[in-house]
Amino acid sequence: MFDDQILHDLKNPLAGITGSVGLFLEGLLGPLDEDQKKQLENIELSAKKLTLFLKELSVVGCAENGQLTVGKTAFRAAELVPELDWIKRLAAKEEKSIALGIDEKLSLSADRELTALVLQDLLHNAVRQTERGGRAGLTVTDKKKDGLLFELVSNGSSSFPSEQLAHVFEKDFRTKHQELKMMTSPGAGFYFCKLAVEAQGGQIGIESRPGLTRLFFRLPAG
Amino acid sequence: MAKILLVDDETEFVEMVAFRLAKAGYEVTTAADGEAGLAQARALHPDLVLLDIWMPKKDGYQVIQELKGSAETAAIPVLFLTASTLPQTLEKIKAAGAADYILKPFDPPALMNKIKTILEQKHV
Repeated sequence: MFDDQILHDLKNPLAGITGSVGLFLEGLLGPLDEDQKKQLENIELSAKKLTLFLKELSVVGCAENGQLTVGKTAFRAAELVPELDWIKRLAAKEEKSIALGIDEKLSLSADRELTALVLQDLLHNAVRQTERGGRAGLTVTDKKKDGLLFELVSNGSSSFPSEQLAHVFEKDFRTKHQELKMMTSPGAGFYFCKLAVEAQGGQIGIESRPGLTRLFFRLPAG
Repeated sequence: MAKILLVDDETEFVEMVAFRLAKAGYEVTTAADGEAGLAQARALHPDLVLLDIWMPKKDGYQVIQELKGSAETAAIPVLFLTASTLPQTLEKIKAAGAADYILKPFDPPALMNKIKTILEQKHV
């Protein structure tokens, strides 16, 4: 993967792009017409995707060097919802929707930043796999002693061959299986998710059949 | 009106953040390298310093070390702005006495919230 210095140098100009676009979208530079707003939102969403990929690569780099630190805190799962807002807007642009089922009271003991990145990655992927006009879903349920279960479903027509399910979280899966590349998250994607979830003492898994792919992970309850 | 000193060598980033802070009602001064940042901090006694790490002349670690080492400027809170996620970087930031840090690229409201929290703690 990339070294931290390269990632650092990529993230710096990206901070300028996202920040400046934000000034327009928040109306701090005056009113925008609909076309201007739409194009600026496109820049913002593209920058959000790039930000996610770069942050994932940073985490993968640290994990592979044995330097990943996990800062566990107790927080409510619902607190992560605002961080998914850009994916909801992306889905709406593609005429898709997202059904969220997160009980306000559920809390977990995890690294907030890492968990937010995993959720963004998997929800983004669920939206990508969902057919136009369809709905992706995210639910969080309390499995008591087994912690909180996060489930992400997509209703796309494609599915993973059953013999590949055990391998989708491997680092080189996307490179080895170009034919399935569009079904996995871009960048470090699923590999990042596995590293991030397992570093927090959780487990990650996938089920897939035509018409439904379900990705799930468990993290300790708070 | 709280005074904020922004020290960062990425010109377009500085312009963007300074504009946002000014719009939010803060009095903003900027510096493009560590030495200029230190000089401004000593002259202006800002309520908060926003500090990059990798800059010409003096890096952010040297700047905070000198700020914290002087009775005149030791109480000025420092919020680091960094694109590095290396654990050793983040540990070094904490050990240097920073009030907090934010990772670039960030959501602007997250930066504004951190600033507000730090200034409230300082009773500005």
